[in-house]
Amino acid sequence: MMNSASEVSRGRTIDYERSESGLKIVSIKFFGMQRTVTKTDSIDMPITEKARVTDVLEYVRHRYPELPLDEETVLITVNQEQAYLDTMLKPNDTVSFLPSIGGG
Amino acid sequence: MQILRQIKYEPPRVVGGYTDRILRVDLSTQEIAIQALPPDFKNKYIGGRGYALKLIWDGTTRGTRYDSPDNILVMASGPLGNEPGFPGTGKFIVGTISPLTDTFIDSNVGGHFAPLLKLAGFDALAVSGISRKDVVILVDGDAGTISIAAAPSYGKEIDDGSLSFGERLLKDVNGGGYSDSVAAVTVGKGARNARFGIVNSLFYDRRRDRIRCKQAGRGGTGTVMRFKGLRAIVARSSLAKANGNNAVDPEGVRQAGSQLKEVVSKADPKQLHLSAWGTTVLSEYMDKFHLFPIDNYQYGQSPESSKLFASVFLDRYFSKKIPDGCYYGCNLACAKGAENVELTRGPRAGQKVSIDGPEYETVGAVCCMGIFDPHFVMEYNWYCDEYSLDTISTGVTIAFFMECLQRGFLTADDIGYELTFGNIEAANRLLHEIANGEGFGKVAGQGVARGKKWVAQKHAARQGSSEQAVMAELNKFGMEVKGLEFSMYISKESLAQQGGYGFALKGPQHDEAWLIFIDQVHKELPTFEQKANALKWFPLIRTWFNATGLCKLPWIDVRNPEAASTAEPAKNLPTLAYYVQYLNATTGSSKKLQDILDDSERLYILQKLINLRQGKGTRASDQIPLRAMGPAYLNEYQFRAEYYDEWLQKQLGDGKMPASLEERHKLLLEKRMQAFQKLCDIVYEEKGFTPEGIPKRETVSKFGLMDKQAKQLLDEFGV
Repeated sequence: MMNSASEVSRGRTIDYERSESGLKIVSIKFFGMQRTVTKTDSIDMPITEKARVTDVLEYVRHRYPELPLDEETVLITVNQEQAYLDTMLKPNDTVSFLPSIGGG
Repeated sequence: MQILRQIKYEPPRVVGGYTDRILRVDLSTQEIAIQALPPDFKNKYIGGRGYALKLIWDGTTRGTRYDSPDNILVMASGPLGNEPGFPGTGKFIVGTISPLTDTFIDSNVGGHFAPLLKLAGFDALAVSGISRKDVVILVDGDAGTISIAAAPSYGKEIDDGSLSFGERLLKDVNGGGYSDSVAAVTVGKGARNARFGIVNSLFYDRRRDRIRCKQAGRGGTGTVMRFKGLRAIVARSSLAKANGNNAVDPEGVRQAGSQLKEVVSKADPKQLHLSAWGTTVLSEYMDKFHLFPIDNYQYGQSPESSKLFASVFLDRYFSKKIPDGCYYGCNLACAKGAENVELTRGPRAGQKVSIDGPEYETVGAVCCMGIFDPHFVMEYNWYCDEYSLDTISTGVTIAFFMECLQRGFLTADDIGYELTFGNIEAANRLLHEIANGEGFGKVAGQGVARGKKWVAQKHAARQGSSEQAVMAELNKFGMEVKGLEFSMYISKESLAQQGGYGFALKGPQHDEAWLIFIDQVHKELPTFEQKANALKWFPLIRTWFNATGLCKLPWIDVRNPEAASTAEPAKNLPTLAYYVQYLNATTGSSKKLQDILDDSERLYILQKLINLRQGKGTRASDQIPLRAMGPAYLNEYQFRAEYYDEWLQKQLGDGKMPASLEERHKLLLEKRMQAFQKLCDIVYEEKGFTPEGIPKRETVSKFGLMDKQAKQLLDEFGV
């Protein structure tokens, strides 16, 4: 589990243990083929006050290195709205990494 | 098989993607003719949809209906169909005057039929007239014969079925076995009894060692075929499929194909992963964004939806590790299939069948009826295919009548049973009644537009109210435009997609524009002008795919990583560059993307002229049901109250929100209707139409379409 250790994400250190003690978390949802890797619909991630989407992406990559998350094509949403790697997160936000869908 | 008429011919060679020949068959006179096309025909009308449009424009009149002898049923691929070196080249269109819309409809379908028809010498097949007895057409490029034969009889159960009949017929014409040099299109009995009959495209799959099928599903093309007395068309050619188009620059074709295949093989597994999951993967995403058309598009999301997610079909039904492309060389291979599925309902209960599908649209159609049973999805899929019924129109029509019962416009006595949302047995019963033309199926088989009239008469007579008033209410939730039932996406939260459905020339099918994600999720179209631009650009490029014999999915549903660095990633321009290269290498042209869009716009305007002639071409015909714009009833508003309240507050700015739910609902709908009308104004201007939605003279002239018929038509409309 990564949430008991400090991780470096884009030059910033996130101390998950400390943030977890403040009970500030975001939920990360998994869809479609992602679940075949994660074996779960969602996980929680403790966050600091300055957490951004990029931190979540790094967290997921560490936890599920075999999960293909291509920054160039993935659609990031926070609470159903499109977000970006530098989007700031609030406690209880829901983050998803979705494929592009063009509508057949 | 009893041959009624036969001609011999020398199959013309395919050169640069074309044979420059159309096979014309008149079933009334049993006349078979090969029409040589002038050189500029292909330059102007491209192929596929373009050829069908031109033949329908010239060969039918405003009085032509689906069952008129002069109606023409066109099947055509295009210059880029039939190339295993490039993904998705088995597509062709079936175009005709629709029984649902009374205007031009085309539906695209995959399989081997059109590639084999082209190798047998024909860019298109056009069937007119009506045969007094059921017949089949046999196009045999190997023997050099074209025949009209009496439809063989294999016993009632087989004869009634499109799949069963086609499988037997293919064996029959091939010495008792199957071959990938022979393919067929067929129709079943449902196409005779419903206006939304489909054409099945049957082909032999070596890997599965059985006949597989794909469907030209929308608009009742199968109904037209059945009314012509045409049970099947068989195409045969043993010519090599590799470089079958005899491309001008085979190396250019190889390069373009290799590049696209590489993008597909690398990107698809990281994205939708259609190659593994098929299009059923969409169910989950549609549910997430409130787009799943539950209970006749009332609610976009349900806790029960997960029963219909792709993983369920993959675990329980789909054969794994079999790439199910619908033509050689497609590494996206998104079609999925299942073997030995036991039917538990209907006349074939107890039998085990092979099922091709379901696609997302079929899953959506079942949730539209409020049903979340995956096994019913499988059975519904198979029976609709076997009967030749469109899974979409069948589901939306049944759902409409379910809601009529829910809201008190019909009683169980009117229908004969409790047709309620989620009632599998009732939905199943009505499905078979539609196919057989029995009971309430006689009404339901007419589709939503005609169903609304039937309900309005019945309810008005019972209540002593005016039919007009009842119809106004039914128009809120009867999910059709121009007579065609909606495809399976809720558009309430995307104004751009409301336009995508309303302006679609064939009716609300998403193959002209699917803008929900870039509008609703990506928020890339915040202004009316940006929406209008997208509502012009996407229909044009999508038209081109339907004119050239290509599948759109490798472009639109596999995002090229290089698109991220472009100004408009949703257009996936780096991948489109491969398509332009493929076109030029095949035909020897030197076109750019804008040339392609211009070519498509000519076809788009021609289709608009046909709509105008057939009474479906003005602003009035582009209007969409209230439910497509927003929550038609309070229960829908309440289901998404947080979203609707927020949207309404944004519109009001500093204005005060009404206190009551009823007032907020009313105000929201007013705002939504205003927005749609404003969108109409801006889109028409963008497309070169008058405010009434009619092409301006300069627009028609610009594309060389101002012939005598067009002049008269525009005169009539005072343009």
